[in-house]
Amino acid sequence: MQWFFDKTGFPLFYVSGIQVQLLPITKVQFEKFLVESKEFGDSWYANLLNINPRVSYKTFTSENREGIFITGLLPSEINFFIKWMGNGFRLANLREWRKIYHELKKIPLKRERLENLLFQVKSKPAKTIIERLLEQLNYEILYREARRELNWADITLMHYGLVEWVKEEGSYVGVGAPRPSFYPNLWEPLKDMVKPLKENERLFYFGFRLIR
Amino acid sequence: MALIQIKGKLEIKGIKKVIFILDTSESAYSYWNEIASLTSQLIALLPKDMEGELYFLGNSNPIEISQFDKLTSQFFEENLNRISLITPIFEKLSQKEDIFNILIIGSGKIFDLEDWADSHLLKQTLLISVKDSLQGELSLADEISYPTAQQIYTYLYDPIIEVEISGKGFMPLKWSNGGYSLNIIEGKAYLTASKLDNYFINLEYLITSDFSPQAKLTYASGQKIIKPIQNLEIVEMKEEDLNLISLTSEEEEIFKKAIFKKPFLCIHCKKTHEWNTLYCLNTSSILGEPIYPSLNNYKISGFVLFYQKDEKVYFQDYPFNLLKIDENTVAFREGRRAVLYKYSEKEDMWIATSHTLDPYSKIKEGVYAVVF
Repeated sequence: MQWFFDKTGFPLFYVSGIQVQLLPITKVQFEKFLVESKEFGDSWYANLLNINPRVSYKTFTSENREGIFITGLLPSEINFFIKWMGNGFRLANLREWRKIYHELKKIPLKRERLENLLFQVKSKPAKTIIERLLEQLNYEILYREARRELNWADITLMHYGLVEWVKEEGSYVGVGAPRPSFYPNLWEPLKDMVKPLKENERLFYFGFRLIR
Repeated sequence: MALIQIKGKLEIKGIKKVIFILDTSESAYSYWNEIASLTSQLIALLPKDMEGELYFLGNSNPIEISQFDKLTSQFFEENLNRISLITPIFEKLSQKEDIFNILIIGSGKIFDLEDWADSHLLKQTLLISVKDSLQGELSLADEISYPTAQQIYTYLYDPIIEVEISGKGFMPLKWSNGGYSLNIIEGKAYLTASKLDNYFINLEYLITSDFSPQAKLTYASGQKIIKPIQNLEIVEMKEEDLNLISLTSEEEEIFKKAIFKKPFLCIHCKKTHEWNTLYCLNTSSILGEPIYPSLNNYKISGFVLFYQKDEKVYFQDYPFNLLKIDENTVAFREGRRAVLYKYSEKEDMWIATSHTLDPYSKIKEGVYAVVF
C-alpha cells in the first residue's frame, strides 16, 4: 500500500483510483491554514470552537475524539481551505464518497499496513492521532461492541465519525453516520444523505475530508 | 574502560535567552499600546548583551529585539489580526537547544496552548495578560495579569547560584577559574562553584572514554539544568609545550643522587642531607630554603616536575593541586604532601590510598614529580 502526504503532513491513500485522506480534516490541520492564510480571525474561530470545542490531539479519548476534527464549517469556508491546500484537492461527490466507503468496508484492516504508515508519517499530530485512534477502535470494536475484525471504514471514520460534506448536483449535502453518543441518528451512509435545513447553518457534526 | 585526559570548557550565562511573543490578534490588538509599552520597558531593563528574539503570535519569523522600538508600528501593521495560535513558533523553538525564558504578552485565549501541555517550552513560558487570560479556564502555564516591567524582570532574572561538574571517572587536573574548588565525596570528584559573576571555565580532566562530564546548574528559583561540558581535545603533551628551566650543575648533582636515594651535599649549609630532604633548615629562614636555590627565583610552591634529558636536568613549575601519576592514579596536593587517589572502574570511585607521593616519583620516562 502506497501512502501520500498532504501539505499538513497527514496521509492519503488510493481507493478505486482516487487518492483519499485517511481521516476527516482535523483542527491542527485547519489551524495551519488559519496561520498561513490570515483569512479568519480570533472571534470567527472562537465561535466555531463554541459549537464543537477543541480537544487536543495529544489527549483525546474515546469519549471526546470528535473534538479533534474541524466541524461546523460552511461549504463556502471550506473552499478557502481547499484553495490553500492546492494540488488538485477537492470534496468528493456523493457517488465517489459512497464508492470509497463501500470498498473500504470490505477490506479488513491489516495492522502491518498501518505500522508501515506510522513508520513513514513525519507529522507528530498525525502519528499521535492514528496511534490513539487505532488503540481506541481496537478496544471499542474488537472487544466491547461487535467482536469483529476492524476494517478500513473503521479507521478512516467513514462510519461512526462525522457527517461529511460532499457535492451533489451543484449543491452540497452531508453523508455519513456519526456515533449516536456524538449525534443520535439512524442514517445509513449508502442510502441516506443529510441536507441542512438552512444554507448558512453551522452544524457541529458536519466535517469534511478531501480527495484528489 | 580507560581514563583519558581531555581539555574542555563550560560556557554559561547568568540570564537565559529571552523570547518575546507578542499578540496582535483580533482579541488583543485593542490593547496594543499596553503590549508595546510593556515590551519596550522590559527590553530597556534587560542587560545589553542579553540575547533574545521577538515573535508575533501566529508568525514563526522572528525579529531582533533591538529592532522593536524603531519599527514598532511597522511590525504591528504587518502582523495585525494574526490568529492566536502558538504552534508555529513553538515548533520552531523546539528545534533549538538553547535555554530560554518565553514571555507571551497579549489578551484572549491561545487556542492550541493545550497541545503543548507538559512540554519543556510551556514550562519555560510566562503568560502575561494585559486584559483577558491567555489560557482561559485552563491552568497550563504561569500567568500574571497587568504586571509592571519590573515584576516581569524579577521573574526573568533567575541567576545561577551554583555549578557542579562531575561525570563517570571525572577528575579535574587543571582549571582556569579560581572560583571553582574540588571536592571528593564518596569517591566522586565534584568541581563546584557558587555565587560567582562568571562561571566560565576551561578545564583539563580525566574521564572514562566515551563520556563527557556534565555541569549541574542550579538557579535561584530552584530550577536545575544539566549542561554537558564541551570536550575540546585529547591532551597530548608535546615537547614544544614545555617551558623548561635548567638546574645549575651543583643542583644537578643533588638531583642525580636523590633519585637514587643517596645522601647529597647541601649547597646552603655544606652538610650532608638525606635524599628526600627538600628544604635545608640550617639557614636563617624559619621555613628553610629549598635545596634547589633556582626554585626561589620562580616562587614555586606545589608540584615541581623535573625532566632528565641528555644528562641535563630541567624543572617546570606545575601550579595545580592535582597531578596525573599514571592512567588511573592522581596525586592530590594538600600543603606539602600529596595523597594518592586510585580510580576503581568497577565501583566508579576515586579511592584515597594510604600513600602519599614520594619525592622524585617517576611519572613517566625521564620525568619526576616533587611537592615543594
